[in-house]
Amino acid sequence: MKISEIHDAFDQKTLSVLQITQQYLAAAQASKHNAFLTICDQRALDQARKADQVLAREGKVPREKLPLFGIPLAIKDLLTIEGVRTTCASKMLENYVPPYTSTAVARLEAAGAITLGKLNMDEFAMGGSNENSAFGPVEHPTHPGYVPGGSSGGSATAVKAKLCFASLGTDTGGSIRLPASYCGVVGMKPTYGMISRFGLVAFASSLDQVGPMTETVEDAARLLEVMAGNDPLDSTTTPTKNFPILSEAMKEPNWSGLRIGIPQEYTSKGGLTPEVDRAIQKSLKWFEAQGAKLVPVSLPHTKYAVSIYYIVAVSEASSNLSRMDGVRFGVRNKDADQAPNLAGFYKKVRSGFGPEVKRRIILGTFALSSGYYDAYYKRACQVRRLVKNDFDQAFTQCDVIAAPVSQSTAFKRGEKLSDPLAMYLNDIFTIPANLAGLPALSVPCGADSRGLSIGLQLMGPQYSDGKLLSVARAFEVAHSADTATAQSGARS
Amino acid sequence: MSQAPGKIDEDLTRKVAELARLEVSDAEVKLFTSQLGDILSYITQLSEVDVGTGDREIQPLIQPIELSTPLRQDVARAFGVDEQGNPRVMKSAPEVMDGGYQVPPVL
Repeated sequence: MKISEIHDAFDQKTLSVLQITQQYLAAAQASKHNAFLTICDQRALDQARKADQVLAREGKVPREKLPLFGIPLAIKDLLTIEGVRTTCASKMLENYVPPYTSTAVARLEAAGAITLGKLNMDEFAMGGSNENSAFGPVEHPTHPGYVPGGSSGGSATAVKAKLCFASLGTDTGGSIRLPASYCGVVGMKPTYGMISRFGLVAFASSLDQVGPMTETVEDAARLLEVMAGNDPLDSTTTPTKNFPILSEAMKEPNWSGLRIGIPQEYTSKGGLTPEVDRAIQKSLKWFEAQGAKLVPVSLPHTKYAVSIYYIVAVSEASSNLSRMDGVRFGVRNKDADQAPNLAGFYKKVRSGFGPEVKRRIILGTFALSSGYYDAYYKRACQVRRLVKNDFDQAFTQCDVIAAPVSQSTAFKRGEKLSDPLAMYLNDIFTIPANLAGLPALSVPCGADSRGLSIGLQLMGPQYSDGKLLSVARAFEVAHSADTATAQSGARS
Repeated sequence: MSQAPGKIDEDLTRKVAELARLEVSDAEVKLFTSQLGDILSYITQLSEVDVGTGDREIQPLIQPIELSTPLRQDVARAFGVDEQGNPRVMKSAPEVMDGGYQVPPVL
């Protein structure tokens, strides 16, 4: 079901906002996926009752004014909502109740959306499997025992398992696209600066982006359009106030004029498994059959992306997470109160971080420390420019780049937990878009022999978000029958 | 690179953890030292990239978009204030006293 169909049902009085909200709340409460960390049932029911009053008064859904009217969403627990616990899946913020609402959520709610609750994730968004949550891992929505991907694993599982209609995730190195690919939903990381990050707990500020996770591309466009645009409270947002994303997304692409770049480095040399490769090749053939021109492009610095990322992201994280001091917010344990000095106090307070977070803070502190800064942080930023230059060059030859999201499909829980480097290398196809600030999305394009979903990644130049969505939507509409078969086969 | 990368030992892990105000157990020091060693030796690949020198040195890319510094009017506005006019932000603190953050005597 799409948002437009739910709105039709509201108009025809075959469904009320309260009913749909209650249905999702019941599913969320009964679910064994561990996708939700907090369910705000009373708050959601209040919102739903108020929406039904509007519906009764207006006679039909005020689509223009409230494009997300009555749509039940859930939010990655990294974005604040005033009065609702925000944990970042960390013991450090177990009881943190923020005094303000993030702009992204505020805009969704101002457009009529209902908020069901907050979703599980890797602690402070650090991880690719959702095994790093202080509140336990998230279960894969269709394949028990497998990871849903991370760090927005709760956001992907909740959409796929129909525990919410759509969700918000965040993407620093692939954290929306990877779980979208693993779980078989649509996930988009918009252009850097497109959506305000006011109220987003910062991980790596030059990389983080908020984005939608949905069942359909059309609905991703609807959420994105509502959230996109300048926010005076976030100086890193675009100066542009509004983007006509939905209308662009709904257009049929001009196939004969479309050049799709195929990066030569995103191949089996990058560890791509044959099943994923086959699904991607099949997708490319479809684009070609529509009249698009496939153009080989080269992104020669791709092989450095993971190295750059794990210097830049951890350096920024070590700085951002220094605010977790146990004074202004967060949990202060008894030991901290007994500490002999300030350094000891901080050390006791900060013992609440999980192992992956500690590892990254240590690595980041190391990369920024005197004597190592030039060799690590500065050099990483220099090579980061070369990665961006690669894309600038490629986009003189093509309009959109098509690639896999990940080398493989979802893996079993525990499989990569003891080898952080192997886990990091899993992000090689998603990290480059973050380094260059590009919009990138994952749309389901098939399944492997076990029925595990495969995602096709589309990337474009900055601010080509609408165009990416239009290409993805055309692909999705043509393939929705196959993907549905693959997924239902997997569940049986 | 100016320093020998990939040579991280337990003393360095302890030193960096101290700088980051993190308490690490002996077992964690051992584990992190080996894992960070793996990661850093992978990262040494960056040293093979020619980043130029002098005028031809590649400028670091610190953030992916060209940003101006937008300014706004310097006007105070109410933010997160409860019914009594107290800032709600204080409610998030582990301990407060007389409108201020309370910390143990550590100096």
